[in-house]
Amino acid sequence: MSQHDHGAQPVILPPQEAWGVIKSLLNPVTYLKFAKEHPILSLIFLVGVVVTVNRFLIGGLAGTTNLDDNNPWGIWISFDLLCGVALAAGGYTTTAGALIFNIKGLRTAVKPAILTAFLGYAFVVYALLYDVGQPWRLPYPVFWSQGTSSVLFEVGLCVMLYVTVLMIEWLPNFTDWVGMQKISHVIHKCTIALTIMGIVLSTMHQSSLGMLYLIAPHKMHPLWYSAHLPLQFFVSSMVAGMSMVIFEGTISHHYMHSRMSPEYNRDHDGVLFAFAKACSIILFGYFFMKWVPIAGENKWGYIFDGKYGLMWLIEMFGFIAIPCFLYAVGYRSRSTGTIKAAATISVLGIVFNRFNVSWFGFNIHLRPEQQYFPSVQEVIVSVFVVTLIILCFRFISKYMAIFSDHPSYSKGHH
Amino acid sequence: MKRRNFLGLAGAATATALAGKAQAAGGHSFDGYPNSYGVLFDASRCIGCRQCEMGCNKINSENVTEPWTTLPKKDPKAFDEKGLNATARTDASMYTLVNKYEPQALGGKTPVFKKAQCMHCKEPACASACFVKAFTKTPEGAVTYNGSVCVGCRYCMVACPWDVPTYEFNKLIPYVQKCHMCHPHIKSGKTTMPACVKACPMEALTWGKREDLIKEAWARISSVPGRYLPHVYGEREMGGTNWMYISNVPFAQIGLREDLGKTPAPEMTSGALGLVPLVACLWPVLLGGIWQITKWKDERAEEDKQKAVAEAIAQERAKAGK
Amino acid sequence: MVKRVSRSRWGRVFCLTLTLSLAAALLGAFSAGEGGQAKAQQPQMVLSGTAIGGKPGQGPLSKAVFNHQKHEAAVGNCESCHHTGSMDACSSCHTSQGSPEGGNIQLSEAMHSAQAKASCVGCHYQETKKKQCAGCHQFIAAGPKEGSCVACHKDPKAPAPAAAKPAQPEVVTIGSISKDYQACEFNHSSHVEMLQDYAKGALAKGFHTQPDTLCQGCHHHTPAGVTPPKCGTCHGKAFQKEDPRRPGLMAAYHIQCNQCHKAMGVDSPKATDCKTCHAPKK
Repeated sequence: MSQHDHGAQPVILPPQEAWGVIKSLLNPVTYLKFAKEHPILSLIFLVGVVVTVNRFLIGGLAGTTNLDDNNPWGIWISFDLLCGVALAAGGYTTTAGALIFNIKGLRTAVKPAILTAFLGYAFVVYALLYDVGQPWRLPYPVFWSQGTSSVLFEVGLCVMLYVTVLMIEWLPNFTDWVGMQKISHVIHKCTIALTIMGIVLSTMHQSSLGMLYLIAPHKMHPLWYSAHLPLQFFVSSMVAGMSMVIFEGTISHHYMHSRMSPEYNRDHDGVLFAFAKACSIILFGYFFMKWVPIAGENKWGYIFDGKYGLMWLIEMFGFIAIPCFLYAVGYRSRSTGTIKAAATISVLGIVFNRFNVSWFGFNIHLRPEQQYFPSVQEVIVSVFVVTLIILCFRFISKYMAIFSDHPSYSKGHH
Repeated sequence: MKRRNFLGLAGAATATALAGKAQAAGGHSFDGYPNSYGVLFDASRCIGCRQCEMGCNKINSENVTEPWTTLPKKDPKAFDEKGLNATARTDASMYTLVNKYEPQALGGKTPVFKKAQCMHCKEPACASACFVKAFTKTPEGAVTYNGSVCVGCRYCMVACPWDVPTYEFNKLIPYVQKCHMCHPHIKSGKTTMPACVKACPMEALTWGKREDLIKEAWARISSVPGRYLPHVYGEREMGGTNWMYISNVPFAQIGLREDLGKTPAPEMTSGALGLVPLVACLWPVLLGGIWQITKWKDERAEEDKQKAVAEAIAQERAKAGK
Repeated sequence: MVKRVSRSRWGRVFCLTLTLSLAAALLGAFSAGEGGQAKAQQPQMVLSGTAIGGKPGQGPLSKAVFNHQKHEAAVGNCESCHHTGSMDACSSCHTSQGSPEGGNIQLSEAMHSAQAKASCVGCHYQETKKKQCAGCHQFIAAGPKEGSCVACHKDPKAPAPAAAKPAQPEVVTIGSISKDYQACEFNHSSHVEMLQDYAKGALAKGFHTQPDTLCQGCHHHTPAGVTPPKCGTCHGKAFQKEDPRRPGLMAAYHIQCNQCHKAMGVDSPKATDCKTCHAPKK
């Protein structure tokens, strides 16, 4: 981190030492050392473990969450699942841009995006283990009793397949590191097939997450309920994915600078501008897409009606129109600062939208005292999961060639 | 009706049901199982004695095998009419509950009671939402739950328009709990009709074939015009339910939503779900094509570049040669 | 067309509602005779009845007899019936075939509509909603019943029906579940006396034409003058295929007692107070 030399290649450990690092993960001393260096992260981790024990062994769902019979889904679905999946969409948007549309400047963004997506999805699944009543049965819908009429079945199947695809896409980073280049080589040959599979699966489950709510029109506020929910979820996931790549790239560049090769540093702004342009256009389309059901189903009256109307307007203008405009301005004036601000607002906007659909605008028929609000422990688990993602991201990008090409490729292709 | 009779009918219903299922899968309309049974609740008759709740607890807490059909035994004294109110709802310890309302339609002081339990939809939202097929719409009319496959995602609870399924949040191995219209008990011969119906001293609950119940409901409505509202709740709501209500006060005033519409829940997602295979087929072809085009374009550009360079070199050489 | 039938010294005019054809018929000697009779019982008026099958009063029913004085006293304001504020005859707008002035409502509808407030039947139906009547009448649909036509369309010359007095038990012991509880002692006579007390007004008397009409509230389907069978004769098991509308015996009792008490505002014993009727066995 002290190093700010744009010209230096990051150090990648030779395979022999890589195994040593992996072995050190089994040694508690490693963790104690880490805890000494990062007390806050360690505290979050510790509290997370305590809540985890409470969730699975002591209190159960009732002892950890504010969920009840009227509010079966809480923040673990609203944030960990819906936001998690949307914000991990960077994987398919970046690979589509770089590998299918062959946009040259995006090449350096692919590996970080795949890593983020892989970790994002892996921890979505991990967070689901907390939420479902009998987590050990999570494979049932795919392998045991298939409820094919269910939207959730489609989501589950796609997410399971996509995690696998992402894992395979990510695997070369690991196999290169530990010196199993042969495996990497085989995987690289399947890149395009994997990318296309990833896009297909993402299209399906990103939209299916919106489709989940189609079955409950009578519980949702009309401003958010619409037959277009699947489309809206899919389109907004593209923005979410790209904004997240920008957002997370900015943070990485701040903290992981020493791990980045000159090419990665050089191309970083190019990625920003390419995504800024794309996001601006998509947000523009998304903005009008959101009006279609309002006009088509004549829901104008709700827009200026009470707090829900206000929230909808904030979402539409504050979190869609404004970032759309900022992205356009940032792209035209080549201002990375504006683009980063737009990305941050977009990410928050996606979170706000998913919360509106699944939490704030959901179950509005209940009396105020029946409405859901997450418990402290639920929030802790969500923070814990995000912390785990960050820790894994740090570890992997610290040792593996995420922001650079692995030395083994330097002589040959690429 | 004798048990053998009922089972015979059930068998016949299964045969017709298979035909019906094939139809439903084909995206055509499914008119529900013929000869399925149901219950008609008459709000003008219910006196709020809670005998139904007691009967339900008794049959479902004694000699039951599966944990997801077992309720904790309750002291009969717990069913005190003083405990009645308009806001309570069923939870994992009960399949049914009587609510007491004081509707505006009767001046706001006269109590009217309503029994809440699973509506046993003809096309259940829970069954279509369940990703492990834990719910079954039986040809006999009941919507039953099989906990042995339940993962506990609780999407059924999200999907149900009447907030019927409940969850054992306080257990480490939790299940959904939901009224099964005494389907297992009728099948095993333990009873001839749902225990709540049997327990009702007022026949505020009537047991019979759904079609007969609709006729009976309309007969009651028309026999003394003005005594009931001309609406059989559940005849068409959410595509129709096997548990139906008639009332002398507006249904909205006894906690039954009148804004649910007539569309069966499965229809709300089937259209969108039908597009999924389209994406799976169209996307790879489209993306593969785009990839090929961009690759070809890049190769062409590279070729052109090399050609131009080669030409330039050749020209230079030619010049130099001259 | 209005035919003035009665005159008062003060110039008060009572109008007779008649259709055009009926008015013409009333000019005949027969109607003059009737008018004379009416005059003797001032201000009672005779309205001609149906024209079914030909001349007024010669159909299957006699003309309806309407006691204006009594009704005026009971209702208290004229607008209840004279809903337009005009004292013209009903038939001036509500003609026999209906006319635009009368909203195309025929005279017979104007008299017999159960839903209208100003019609004879409609007004009387509202009366049955009073607490002391509602116990029985809640189960009786609005509108003229077959047997109740003669209450209005009665032949003044016809002899009054013989007052049959069916035997009444003092106490009825209901012991269907006496295995588990003490038999229920139903005080039959006090219920009958109570109802008779409620129904002693002129209105109730006028319409409860048979001496045992009152009994029909509970002993439905039992023809007048016949000793009713036990409830259990018809009411057995619930939800029988032959007649799903017929409640089982348990419900038959509970519906009969509870619904009646509820409609009549009898709060004691409460509907959910089991022990008052089903005392535990000693």
